[in-house]
Amino acid sequence: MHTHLKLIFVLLALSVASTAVAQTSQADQDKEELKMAALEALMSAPSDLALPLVIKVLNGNNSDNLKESALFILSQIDHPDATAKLLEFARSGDGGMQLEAIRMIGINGEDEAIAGLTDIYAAGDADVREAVLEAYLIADDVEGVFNIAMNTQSEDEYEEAVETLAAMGAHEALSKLREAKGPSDALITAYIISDNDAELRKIALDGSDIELQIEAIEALGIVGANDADAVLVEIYRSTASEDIKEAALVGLLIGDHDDAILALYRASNNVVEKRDLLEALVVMDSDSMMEVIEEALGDQ
Amino acid sequence: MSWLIRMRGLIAVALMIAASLGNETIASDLIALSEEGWHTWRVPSVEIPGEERIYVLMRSGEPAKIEVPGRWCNNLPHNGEVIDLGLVSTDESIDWLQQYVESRTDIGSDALAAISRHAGDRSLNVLIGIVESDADQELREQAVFWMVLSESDDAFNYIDRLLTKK
Repeated sequence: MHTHLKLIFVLLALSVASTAVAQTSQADQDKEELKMAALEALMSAPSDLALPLVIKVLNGNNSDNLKESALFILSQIDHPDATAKLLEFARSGDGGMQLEAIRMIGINGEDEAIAGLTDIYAAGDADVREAVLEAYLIADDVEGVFNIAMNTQSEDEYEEAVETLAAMGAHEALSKLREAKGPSDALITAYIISDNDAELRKIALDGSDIELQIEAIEALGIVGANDADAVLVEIYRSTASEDIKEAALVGLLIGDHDDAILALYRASNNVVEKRDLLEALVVMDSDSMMEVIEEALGDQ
Repeated sequence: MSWLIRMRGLIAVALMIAASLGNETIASDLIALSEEGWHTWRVPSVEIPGEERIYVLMRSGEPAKIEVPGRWCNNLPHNGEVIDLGLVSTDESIDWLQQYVESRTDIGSDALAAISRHAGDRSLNVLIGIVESDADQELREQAVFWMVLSESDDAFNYIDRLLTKK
């Protein structure tokens, strides 16, 4: 009986404690939301009034969530001190705060803050460098990303910068990179992403690196430019290399150019080649297949 | 008897002066705001010196719209359509608006915004009261929002404490 009473008492105590914890947690959450509402409202307040309060939140013992919001508000305050503070966090903030501050520089878009990203990239680790690229992307600063791609010695960093340029649709910068550094896998991928068939054609017709040439030829089929079929047919017909021929056929297949494949089939006198072309039409489930079959039956 | 005549004379002069100031009234009876259509009155503004004009559209004895000209006001009536109640005391204006905050109607948020534009401690105290003790979290957040947008020093001091307290 005594044990039962003890158990009931413990259960009651636990129940009261858990209710108290739940209430405290709700109160904390409400307090956090009030602070968030105040921060958001500060965006509409005069910068000289808002700035000191935002900085206090950033320097205070607040949650990461609140501080990240404060960084966003800071990025929206049009005041030199706000930019300076943002750069300070981007240079020396703790972990996640530093990365968030870097991204907020991209949102802020102030020339002075953007200019500060160069040193931050140079001194930063992989996460910082990724955040800097993201900031350039947000700010649509092609030059910043182009400079990273031009100056880096790291293949990984080069690839990331090229990918970022592709996401920005920076055709001119990507063309300059091919001219300056030569074609590469990363550039071909970037040309596909940015729908740049003109640059792909240049690599597709450049025989200096057959592997890249094959990649570029196939990529022409992916990009699907208006006259890609004509270019691929021309490459197919003019090459002596079986690998290049195969790449052109793959390009035609990916681009769904069954009419061009049918034309090649009809023009060919080579049995092996005809078989390959026919296989491509079968894979494409092309209506041209029926024409080929009818022609074959007619010949008999 | 002569003092009575003099008194009457003074009252007459006072009435003439009041009339010469226009048809404004102080502490006018806002409860008479039961007529249909737009009403307006002025109160001392949180932006000192200055006045704030409050517009209320009454429909079936209840406010359908509460507007304060400025950044957040889009639907002001044309001049001819408005019953002008003149200058109203801060307390009376806040009392009238506060009943709609407390009534939890849709108009409550607009009433809160209007309260935040009044000069003096009263409006800030109403907002603080809501932030610190109202059960409706959304209303509390709205009170904080309007407090910040009032841009008064006292409001900012309060927000400062709110943001820095653990």
